[in-house]
Amino acid sequence: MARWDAPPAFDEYVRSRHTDLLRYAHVLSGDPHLAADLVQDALERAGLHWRRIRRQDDPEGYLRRIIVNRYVSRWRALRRERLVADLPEVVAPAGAEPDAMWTLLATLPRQQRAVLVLRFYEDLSEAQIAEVLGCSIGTVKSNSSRALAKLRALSTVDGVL
Amino acid sequence: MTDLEEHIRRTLLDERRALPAWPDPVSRVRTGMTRRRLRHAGVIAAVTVAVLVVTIPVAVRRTAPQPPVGPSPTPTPTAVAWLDQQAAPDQLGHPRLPDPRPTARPCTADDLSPTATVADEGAASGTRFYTLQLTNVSGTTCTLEGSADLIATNTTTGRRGTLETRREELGFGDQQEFPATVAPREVAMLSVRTGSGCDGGLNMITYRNVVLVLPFHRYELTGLVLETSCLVGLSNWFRFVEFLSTPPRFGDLRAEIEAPATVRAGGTLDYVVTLRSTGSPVVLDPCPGYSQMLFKSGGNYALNCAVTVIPPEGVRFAIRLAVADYTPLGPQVLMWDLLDDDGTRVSATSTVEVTSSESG
Repeated sequence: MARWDAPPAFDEYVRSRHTDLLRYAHVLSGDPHLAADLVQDALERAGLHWRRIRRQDDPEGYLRRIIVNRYVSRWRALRRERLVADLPEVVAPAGAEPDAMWTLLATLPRQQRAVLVLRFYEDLSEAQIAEVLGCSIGTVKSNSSRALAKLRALSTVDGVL
Repeated sequence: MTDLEEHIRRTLLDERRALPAWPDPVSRVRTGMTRRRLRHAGVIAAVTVAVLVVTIPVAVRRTAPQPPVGPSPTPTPTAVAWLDQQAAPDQLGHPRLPDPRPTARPCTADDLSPTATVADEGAASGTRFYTLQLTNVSGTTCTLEGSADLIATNTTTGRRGTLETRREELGFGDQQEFPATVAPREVAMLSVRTGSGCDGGLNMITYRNVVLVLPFHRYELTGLVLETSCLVGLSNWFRFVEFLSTPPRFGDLRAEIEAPATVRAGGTLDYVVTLRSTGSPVVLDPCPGYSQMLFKSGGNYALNCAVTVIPPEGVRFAIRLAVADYTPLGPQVLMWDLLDDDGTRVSATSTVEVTSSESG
């Protein structure tokens, strides 16, 4: 087997975990199509280095870190590439109309949204978020406070709360 | 936890965020891996020629049809006509950066944290990025200029020495300011890039026991392992600059879509977006751009600013979207975003049923 061939355990990982990764990427990006692209991309990259990733004891954390960093990084967003070879199937569930807070979250810049997702969806501490995003704790705090302030203002106007 | 925070948590954990499982996830991922392997192995050039010959007709068929030249769709007489014009770069919303910080006195070892922090910035396209970070622990601002050297051990040969590196500006685009003039408690950063795309990715070298070398100090980068088949890329020292927190121009605007229930794949979707102000009238000057997307069809367009003021009662804009003929049939989310200066968006979505191009 060539060095970059993923072992069968990788297939099992993909089967069992890709829906949770899709959900995570959807919460992060707010866009089901982008979520599918992010997960596909992360799994392909992980598969090429699966043995090394497995040795790190936290493949899930590694994948989620790829997903969030590719979502947040502005330079990557600007040169967004087509990531899937085949046209993906419909991923937007019928009847999944966004609710008010979900719509407000879409108004946040990517880094601010990512901080909120890591804090409230992933339950990470500020230090852990800083580690995942590769920024300082101060940046996490400022992004979090700005995001909450904006959502508070908008939700008051919109009567969300 | 405040009510707002609890509301956010409930929204994010809502079961509606779950997406359907892929029918055959393993094949899907392995197909993508195969494509990447080919690229890494340098075979792609030869394959591309063959693939192009075979697939050009398919590619042409899959290209989204251009909107027909003609009068703008005006679903109702009260809607502002659609403008068939791509958004100019300055209409796409660019967060503003503060003025460059003037350089200060050179940083010394005493100014900086005794250990360097390594942040893994993730991987993309066979490339992995790290940032090496030193915090200004002094009481005054100082400047870290130029780059650095890395000393490491090649685990294959056992040789230890200074790595041959390539100077690059990496990673954070216009949010990195050179040199790194850092105030107390701020962080100076240096990007490191490794890549698996050289030599077909087959001659990977692993470097361990990496040491960051500055003229005045050496920092052991504990735990950092560099795996690369390319020259290691190294940036100059920079400061990561936050965008200015300016109030969004369109913070008072809300968008709403009126779209037909169905559209044919390969057809044209004419719909109306109503912009309303929840506060004072909002002036569209300079004229903004918007993005629209249905599956993979859409792009960034200039808004028709024939109407320059959005009052509370709102203004209706006719919008047109050419729907690609490869769009999967069934419900698809139509997304529309007015692009604000600070990078935020005024968003609206609607679900449209895509029907067969044969139907109707």
